[in-house]
Amino acid sequence: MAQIDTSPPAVVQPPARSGAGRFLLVFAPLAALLLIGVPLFLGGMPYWLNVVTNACLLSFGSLGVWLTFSIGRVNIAQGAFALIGGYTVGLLTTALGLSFWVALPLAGLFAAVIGFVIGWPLLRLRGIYFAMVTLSLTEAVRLVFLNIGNLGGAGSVTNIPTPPGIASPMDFYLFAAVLLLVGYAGIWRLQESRIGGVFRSMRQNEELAASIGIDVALYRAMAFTICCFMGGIAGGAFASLQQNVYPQTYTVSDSINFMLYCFLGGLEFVLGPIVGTFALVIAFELLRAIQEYQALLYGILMIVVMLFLPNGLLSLRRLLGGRE
Amino acid sequence: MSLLEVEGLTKQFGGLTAVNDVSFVVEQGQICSVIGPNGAGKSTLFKLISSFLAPTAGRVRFDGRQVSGLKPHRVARMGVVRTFQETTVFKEMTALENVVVAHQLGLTAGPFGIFAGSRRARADTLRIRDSAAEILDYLGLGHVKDETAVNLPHGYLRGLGIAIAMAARPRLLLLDEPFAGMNPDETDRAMEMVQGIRARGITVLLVEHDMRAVMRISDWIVVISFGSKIAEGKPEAIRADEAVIAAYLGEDDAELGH
Repeated sequence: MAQIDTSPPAVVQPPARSGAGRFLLVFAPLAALLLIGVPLFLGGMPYWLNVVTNACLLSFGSLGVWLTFSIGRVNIAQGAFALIGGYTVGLLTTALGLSFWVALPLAGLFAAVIGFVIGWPLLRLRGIYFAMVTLSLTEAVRLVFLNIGNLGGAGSVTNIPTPPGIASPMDFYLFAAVLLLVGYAGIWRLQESRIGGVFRSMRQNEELAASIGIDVALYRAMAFTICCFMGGIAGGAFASLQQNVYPQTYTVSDSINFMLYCFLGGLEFVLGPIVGTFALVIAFELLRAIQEYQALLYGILMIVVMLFLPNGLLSLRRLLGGRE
Repeated sequence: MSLLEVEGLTKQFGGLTAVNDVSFVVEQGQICSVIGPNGAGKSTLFKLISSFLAPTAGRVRFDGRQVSGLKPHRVARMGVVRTFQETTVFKEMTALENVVVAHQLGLTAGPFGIFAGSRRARADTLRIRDSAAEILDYLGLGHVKDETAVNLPHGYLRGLGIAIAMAARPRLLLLDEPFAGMNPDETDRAMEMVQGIRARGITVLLVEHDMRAVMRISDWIVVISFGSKIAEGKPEAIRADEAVIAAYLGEDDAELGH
């Protein structure tokens, strides 16, 4: 209806690449880099291997945060769910003697259940209100674990055994890298499917989404629950890597970092949170050499990125003449 | 039984009664219009029927089943689908993606099937692509289907809004001021489209300010003023109704078709 007199905009679409093709275009180089490149170059540098292992686990958590961004919520609670996952793995493996490989999925599930129960009412909030509440949630969870400790319970868990079958830092790194690749594939698949379309529609207009029969409350709880699951897995694996977990293992600043990783990498692409996490974690390590200026440089770096690359590092591609 | 029954519908915001004891029915296959001066409570009534607001008193029944109190997505699934005023679409998606995502209700595969790419999910995808393209072609938007909505000329966006609603397979389509801001040519085309939608077997209830269009297109007209129903009937009867003329007093006579 109402075709006004402007001639229709000429639309020249590039030939659509098949879904699998577009997936492999990013996934194959990523897998090669993580599974071949990193072991080759960092094999003899245990310190850096540890940094990259941590970056893989943090990236896995950021992927979840990215998913809540895709429904239009700024989520600063991922630290809380990583902490819940860390304690779950810690307590199940030490107190109950469960295998890490059983405890880790349980950590994810436990974080997901808590995320669902808390998320259902909280997700009615939008914008800055949701961000503020999730921020306080991180602190609340930290305080819960701190007070359990003060009451004589297990405030911290130490001597968490290394996962059976993982004998060296390299083994652990490979496990983290595979976990990240699986996470990437899963989230990519999700956002390419019609569920991803529903998530994006909700970000753009929840009322319109409801008017065409989308159960907005259910779908946003789904996105948040998946996010919390991934946070729990990341935190659980990290606790096992460190062999301990404290209330301050994940604090408010970690939750904020999870969000910054997504911003920095770019919210348009599933690869964004991974690029952002690696860039920030590695930058942080490099800046460690100049201790007292670390925070200053870190801050300047963030401001520069926000100013010149508001769509994240991956938008560099466009400046460099990439497609789109 | 009537398709839509509105019984004693009342909505109060604090001390203000926006809709006051309004009752009317819409029959299957009708084009029914709700008209009234600005601030008469049309928009509130519209939101009550689509269940985006809960009534203070009274109820809305669709096909014999209670609508009031249900969540909006449940009402949409029953077949009562609304459009929005102006240009409410998913702005960052292409026209086709807008309509594809609106096919959510036609899915046969569950979330896990969609995620895993089950045969049923793939069949859904193909069927939905065809159906979405067909709806866009039908509404004259086929040639812009790959354009991002935010880049579309204003005139196309309302059509796209209706395409989104059509994709949800309504039995009763609620149109919120479909002719607002249109020139006479555009209004004529939009009216043809509304009649085309009815010809597809979809009942239409529209809330509108443009009297000229309403008089020409409607089978039944409900007039509200200050939240209350003051008249209802066929267009000829409404045009001659004393109460309606009084309510519109001060407005241009031409608007009433005199």
